[in-house]
Amino acid sequence: MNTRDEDKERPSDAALEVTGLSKTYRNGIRALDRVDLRVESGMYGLLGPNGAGKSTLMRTLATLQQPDSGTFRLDGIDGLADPDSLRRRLGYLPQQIGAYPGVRAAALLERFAWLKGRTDKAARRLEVARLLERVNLEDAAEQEVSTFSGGMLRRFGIALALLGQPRLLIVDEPTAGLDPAERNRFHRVLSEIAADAVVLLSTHIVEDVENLCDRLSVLSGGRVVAEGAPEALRSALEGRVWTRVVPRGESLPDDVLHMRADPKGTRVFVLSDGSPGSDYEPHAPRLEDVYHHALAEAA
Amino acid sequence: MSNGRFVLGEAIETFRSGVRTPLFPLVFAGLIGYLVVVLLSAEYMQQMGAIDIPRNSPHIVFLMSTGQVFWLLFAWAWLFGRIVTRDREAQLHELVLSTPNSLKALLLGRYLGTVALASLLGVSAPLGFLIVGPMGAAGMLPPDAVGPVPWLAMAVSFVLFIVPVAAGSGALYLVAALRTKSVAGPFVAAGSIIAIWMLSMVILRGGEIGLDLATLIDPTAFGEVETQTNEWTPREKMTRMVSLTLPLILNRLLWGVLPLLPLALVLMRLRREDLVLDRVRAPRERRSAQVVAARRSSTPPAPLNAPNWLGATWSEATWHLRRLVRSWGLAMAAGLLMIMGVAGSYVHVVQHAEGPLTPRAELLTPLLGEFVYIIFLFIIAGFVGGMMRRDEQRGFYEIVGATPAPLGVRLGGRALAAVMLTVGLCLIPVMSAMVMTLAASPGGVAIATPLATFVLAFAPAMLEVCGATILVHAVVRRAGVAHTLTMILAFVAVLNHELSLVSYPPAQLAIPAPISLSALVGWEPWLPMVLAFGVLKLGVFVLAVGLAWVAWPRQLVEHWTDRLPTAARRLRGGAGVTCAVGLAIVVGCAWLLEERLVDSGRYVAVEQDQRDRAAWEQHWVKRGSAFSVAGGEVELDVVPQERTVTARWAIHGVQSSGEALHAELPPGVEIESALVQGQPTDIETVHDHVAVTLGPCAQQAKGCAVVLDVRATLRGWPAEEQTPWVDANQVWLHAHDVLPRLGLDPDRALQTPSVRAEQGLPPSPAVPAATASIAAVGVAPAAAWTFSVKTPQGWTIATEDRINGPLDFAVAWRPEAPPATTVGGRQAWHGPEHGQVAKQVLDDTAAIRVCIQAKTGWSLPTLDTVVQAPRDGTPSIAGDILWLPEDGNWDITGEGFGGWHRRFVIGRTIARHYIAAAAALRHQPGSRWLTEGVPGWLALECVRAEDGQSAWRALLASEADGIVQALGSLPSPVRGLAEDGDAEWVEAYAPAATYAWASAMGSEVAQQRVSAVVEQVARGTTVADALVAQLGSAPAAELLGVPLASDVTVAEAAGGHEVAVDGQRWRWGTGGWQSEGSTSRAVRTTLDGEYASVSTPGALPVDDEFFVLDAWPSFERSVEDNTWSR
Repeated sequence: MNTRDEDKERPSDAALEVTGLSKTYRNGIRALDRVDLRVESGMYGLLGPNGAGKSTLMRTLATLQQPDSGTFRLDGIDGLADPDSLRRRLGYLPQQIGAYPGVRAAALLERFAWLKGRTDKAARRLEVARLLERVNLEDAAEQEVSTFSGGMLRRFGIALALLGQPRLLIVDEPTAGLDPAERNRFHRVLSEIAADAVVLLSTHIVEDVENLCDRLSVLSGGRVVAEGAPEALRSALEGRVWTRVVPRGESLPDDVLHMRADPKGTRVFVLSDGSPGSDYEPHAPRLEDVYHHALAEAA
Repeated sequence: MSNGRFVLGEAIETFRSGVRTPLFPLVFAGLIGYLVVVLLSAEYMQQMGAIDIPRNSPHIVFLMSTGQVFWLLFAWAWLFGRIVTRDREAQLHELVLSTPNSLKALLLGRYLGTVALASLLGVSAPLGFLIVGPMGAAGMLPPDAVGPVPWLAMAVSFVLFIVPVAAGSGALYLVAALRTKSVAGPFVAAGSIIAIWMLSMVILRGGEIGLDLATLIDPTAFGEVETQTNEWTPREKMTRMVSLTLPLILNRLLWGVLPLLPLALVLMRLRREDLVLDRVRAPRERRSAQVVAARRSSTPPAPLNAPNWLGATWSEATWHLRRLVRSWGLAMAAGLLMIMGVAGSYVHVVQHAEGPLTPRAELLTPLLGEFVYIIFLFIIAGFVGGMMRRDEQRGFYEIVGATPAPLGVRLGGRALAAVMLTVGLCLIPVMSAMVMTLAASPGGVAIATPLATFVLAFAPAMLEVCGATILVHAVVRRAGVAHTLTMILAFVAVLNHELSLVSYPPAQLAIPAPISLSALVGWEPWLPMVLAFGVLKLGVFVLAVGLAWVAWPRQLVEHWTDRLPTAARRLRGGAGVTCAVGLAIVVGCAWLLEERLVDSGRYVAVEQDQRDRAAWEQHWVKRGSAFSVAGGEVELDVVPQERTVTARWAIHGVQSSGEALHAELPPGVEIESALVQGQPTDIETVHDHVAVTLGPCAQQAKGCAVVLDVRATLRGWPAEEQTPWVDANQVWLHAHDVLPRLGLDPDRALQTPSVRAEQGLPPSPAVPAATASIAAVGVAPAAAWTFSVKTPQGWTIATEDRINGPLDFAVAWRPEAPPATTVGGRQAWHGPEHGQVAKQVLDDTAAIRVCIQAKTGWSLPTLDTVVQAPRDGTPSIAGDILWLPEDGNWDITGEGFGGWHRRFVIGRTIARHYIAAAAALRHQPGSRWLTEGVPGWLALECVRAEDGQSAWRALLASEADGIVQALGSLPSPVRGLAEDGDAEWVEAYAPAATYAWASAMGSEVAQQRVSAVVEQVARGTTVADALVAQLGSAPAAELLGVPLASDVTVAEAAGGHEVAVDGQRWRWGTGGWQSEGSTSRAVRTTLDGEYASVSTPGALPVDDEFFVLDAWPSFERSVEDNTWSR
């Protein structure tokens, strides 16, 4: 099902190119194991369970961590050899940002603008104003960041990450804790940005990747275990995913791909070339099935 | 689980987890390490009054235990803050708070566990004294420095000084932490407690305006312990416990028990949601003007090209500075600095116990530096530390790390902000000075002096603290540990400031250049040195910032070794350049200061000074020989531009029992050539002492004719606050600055037995014969001298050209004459704002001179000229001119103690000058009775005659305080007035004891005896022999022996028909006061000066007012209860 082989055949016109990135922590955990990625402009998803290495990969690409080996390039710029050049093209939004105390939103954005290299005052102010508008915080420009709600903080975070018109935007679990309205709003902003930048989206929410990303990778144990466009990945499982509800008290089958709670018991999903039983019904493959299948294959 | 068991369990768990934090062993080891450093420093011990007593004596235990509470308060703030923050940092607070346990029990358990933890941390100070034994056994301490383990003192310190304040301050910290849900609250509380401590120490205790109140509000109890132990005799220091005075008991209740009430109140009212919800201000929606402007603009922002990182650094600096300036904490700190400055100035200057004083800039500026010093250090360490950690908010740290701004922009911005903050804060004491002078002396407002002092001298010293703080926060990843470390650094700086742990000025972290400001001398002589110190300290700051740049992690790191490759890479870039620049500045300035202070200047390290003095004693004392001179001529040529004086000194009739004429050489003075009988002769110069070979003429009746060509050059800078005697634009020289002092100076011998033993000297110094010693006053014994001086064009005032007495002269020169004030044909030269004081000084001088002449019949110099000498000098008379230093004399305004004391100083100077000349006095055992005791007695008599009984009593009480304090901080064991040379206690004690002696004898009889002694000494008899001859051996021994003390009291008796007189006597022995039983005889004196002998215990008839003093040559310990008034 993996589309990595066919990707290797493609010419190297990727905006972001990651080659053989490895990282092993002092406690022996191998967080990245020869990770290769080729990412073009648009939204790119990173999926994986906890400890899969997503955050390590993101921090490494954000030049916050040194890999043990491997390289990565953005538009030809070597991120390890010339991190400052890469940083000028980088926007990074970590998983959580706190309430920076005692500073107004516009003032804090301005500060990060000059740290991003926007040192001309007029241009800086213009950019800050536009970003505040873009994330719908123009009315909160003079409000202290510490008074922001969770949703406002995430939008403020994306404004921070967008300072300097980054070519590569790395966002880690951006919608965690947001209500549906905020989440949709956030997705719209990301989609707009992805029109002319590489947006690397790391998330546990498979649905987000399915809806937003042109391509994605699934990481497990520090390795890329699946990579490709959502449609292509889904199509590889077409006709092979079956589902049924296992009533409470009945034992679950052994070959479950994944399962979820159901009002009548547990809905299980299995992978089979043919119907695994009379009580199973065919299931149109979703990215979630692809994700679990990839993890199972990797295991 | 019962609440009780839960509380206990939570307490134990809190204690265990606290012990396992990295801060705990760090602080514990730091305290012990600091104690070891202190115990190893003999000089430090001496500063604490521990001379020749064990270094683990109870009084050291008490002082160290209470002293270390000062910064334990900060460490405790962090510990108690953790009660609230520990769960929050781990995002577990909601989970913990949702458990089915009592919230009060949870917090109570944690509070109790933390009190135990804080007490364990605090016990490190007293417990650390257990290390003294092993240190002695390892040979690190001399055997006599190790006493028995002070178990009781350790236990008392723990129970009385550690546990209560740990519990009390901990309660306040917990309340603050519960309110702020962060450690910021406890640290603000700690800052407030320290501010109260400052108020207690600086305003109330320092200003002597409420000692009981000072004790009451002092959270550390250090002030009370210091006051008590200052008055302990050496023996008491080894055995005595701190007295539980009422203010101390109330203090312990105030700081140990009272804070539990607000804690109990808060715990009772606390709800779980108070700890879950964050306190947020209501949002204030306001559209930014720049957003509105952006709507109008259609131009998109340009791409990022060639950023101006220098501009970004400036933006970063101003941004951080704005954050600091807008914080309410800094506003509070600034307000506190202002209050401390104004209140301290008012108390210490306008209302000074030895005043009232006029708050002139030269007086006020150094005092302001003292008032704000401690709080300044902690403000800098706290706020700069906070600035360094500002970006450590969740997520922001990573975002900042991913920005392209070079690390230098972020660090440079912070460093610049720290500089601006420091300089800005330095302007607050300047404003305090202006407010004070405007209020008290509107005509004397001068901004230049305080501004220059605080910006050029004070700010660079504080920048060292900034640099150290920046470096610590860059190296240490954990914020709590870094904050604690910087507080420790600030604490060490405070102690060094108080006790001179490091005595070499350039090596003194955070201490400004030593200067002595004077209205006459101005800033000019100090400017090069202050600039050199300033640049050195700036270099230290730059170096620290460079090292911080090397060490500051930009990326997320697991282990410190991960930072090494980055650090090595940065050393090859901007960080390395910054380090190199800083290092070059430090090395360059250190070299310059070494050359100016040590090679060319007068600075000598304590150890080197001890070695030099020991070598001098071994080389010269036995070779000294009796000598006499008949007179001579001195021709001085002063060249201020070259800071040089050349002198041709012809000495006639030099006779000596030895082969050479000896002389002590002041720093910078050399004898270029010497002629004896017109022929060149050998000169041996070793250890700042010179021997000029005389030949056979020395034993002939006419003696030798000696000519010395002397050159005195002041090339270096003063290491202490001493005004240079010559500068390009002014000269303030005395004979002892530019000429060798003929003879041997017995005071050069080391006195402390332990130090002598270290230097391989016998326990007691060999004392040169009086006839071989230097003159008590001046540079050569009394004879017929002529003196001439050549100065450049300008204003010169100098001693008259004929001197019959000891050779002592003084010269002042300036291109322009200073202001002068003339009263009744008498003239005073003074500073620009001292015209009014000059009149008072002239009046004082005339009145006291007349009084002394009337009492003694001596022929005194007319003293119709008075010169205001630089601040740090000593009063002296050269020829017919009184040289009166600024300090303590020219700042006094109006009547009061200050005026009485000035008259006392002038009277003592006049009498001393006469006696030294009349007795042709040489430095010898007992000479200080003549130069301190008798002049002090006469001056006291004259103040009594001029200013009345209350003035005289106030001076006696002040002298008594001085004696007690001097005997409480002895630099060497007491041997006796005769033997103890220039010991501080002699200067304080001799006038009071001589006064008592003279009172017992009757003033006129005493005067006759003194005159007889002076005559005999002039004829060559030693002071001791002359006293024996005049008074008998027992009275002479008492006058010249160990200190004697009395406490005479008068009280109403027989139903108001009689006045009962009683008293006690003590004699100093084996390091303390030994009782000599009851007073047997006293002297009753009345307002009109009549004396009458009184047997004690006894009774006197009721009279209007009289004063009773022991008829024993002792000092009165408590003057207040000696006066009877109807």
